[in-house]
Amino acid sequence: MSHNINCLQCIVPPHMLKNMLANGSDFQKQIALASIAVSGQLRGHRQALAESVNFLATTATPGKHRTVYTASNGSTLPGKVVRAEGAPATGDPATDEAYDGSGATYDFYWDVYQRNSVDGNGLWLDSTVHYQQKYDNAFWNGQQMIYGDGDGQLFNRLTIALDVIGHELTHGVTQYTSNLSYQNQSGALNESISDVFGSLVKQYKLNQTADQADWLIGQGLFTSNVKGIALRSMKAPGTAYDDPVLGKDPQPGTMTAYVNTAQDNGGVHINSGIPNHAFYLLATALGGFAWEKAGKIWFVAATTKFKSDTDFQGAADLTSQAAGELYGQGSAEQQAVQNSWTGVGITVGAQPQPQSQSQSSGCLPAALSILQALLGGNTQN
Amino acid sequence: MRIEFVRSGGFAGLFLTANIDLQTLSPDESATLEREINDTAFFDLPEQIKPSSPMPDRFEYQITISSPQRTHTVTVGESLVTDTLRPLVDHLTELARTGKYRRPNSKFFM
Repeated sequence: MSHNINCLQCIVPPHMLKNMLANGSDFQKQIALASIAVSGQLRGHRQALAESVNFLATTATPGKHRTVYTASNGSTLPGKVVRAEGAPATGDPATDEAYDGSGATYDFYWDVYQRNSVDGNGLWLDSTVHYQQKYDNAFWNGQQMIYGDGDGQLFNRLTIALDVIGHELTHGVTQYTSNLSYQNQSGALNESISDVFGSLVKQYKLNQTADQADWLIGQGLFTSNVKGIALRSMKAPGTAYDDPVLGKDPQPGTMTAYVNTAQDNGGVHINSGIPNHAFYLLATALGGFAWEKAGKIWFVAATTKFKSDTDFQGAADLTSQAAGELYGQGSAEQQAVQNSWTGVGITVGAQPQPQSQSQSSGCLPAALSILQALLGGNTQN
Repeated sequence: MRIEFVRSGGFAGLFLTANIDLQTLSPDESATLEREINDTAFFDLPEQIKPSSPMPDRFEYQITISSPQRTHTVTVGESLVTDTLRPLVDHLTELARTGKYRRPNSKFFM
């Protein structure tokens, strides 16, 4: 269970908590206390999971084990069980969609790539629905899925789109494999892997070929108040929405439009448009069901070749390498992979990104933090 | 007093923003916001309240408050929003959702 260390990354280090409690302001003490409470919650849950995984490892054959909980619009996790594996539908859409969606995701990974759940070892799939109030988000917290009901104004309930469920559970797969660092290019790659397999879960469920698929992420999530068809488009990044409240879809589809920003952990949900579009180009070039060849190449690269610091150039090189191993060096498939990356401005086998690229992405936040420090210093005087 | 608010990240990865001049709000709403700001001791908060390592698809809130005397910016990760900070964050989120106070897109990428 060594990978579960990852989920503690959200927690302030123990030595810092101690300092904050001993010497911090009232607010810092509050943060420290809240962090300790949360880490205690996670620890208890992790222990239960560890026991279940150990049990499964020795006794079980591959199979789904889903539990859906409700947070009853509060924040306590995992909450109260509302549907266990094998139980009939409840009639509550969020509960039943979380149950069916995690099942569809499990089936996809098992049927297509023979991966037994998120950790490859039959991890039980826990989901909590009705998290907080008007919460327009869904996330994987290192051990389970969490879904909000949406605010009803801009967002519908988050379980409404199957690819969202596939996206979030794939964050779990990434956590247990490459553990791509969630910032800058490796973070955008982490996001893209979740979009790619989220979309493939949906395409597999609908039995769609690459030509038939919509290549949208989060279709159905926006209410009718929003001017947009989805959150992201892998086919045409930057075109998913253009709305008076939410602004315009900021995704680039090629390296020339790469966005250097300190926000969104270095634009992880923005620059993911680039590898997303590379995958789309590959899938449509190869034709047929996207999960068969394009998905297989991406799956092998992402789960066995990517490291925590793999960037876009690394992803291009490693997916080409995977295609060579799967279909032969110089095969049509490998050539298609190289063409798809060329289509977004990345040349397989090229030298790492020019310095200006990595410098500007690192320098800007640094300059900003210096500026902020100066401003902060001035205002305190 | 002026407030600049940006919620970034989340699964959607979109930017929900608001630029609010308290003088333009109703006296009631303005008073509520001032109370929420005071309750958090906003100007004493650390600038960065972030997890040691970013977590997938969580929100991040950036709040800048300017009074004639001082300006302070606090960036806080969703998992570290405390019960005292939550009313202010939720209130600003609600105001941002109306779209009435949105900042232009070009200012997001900094």
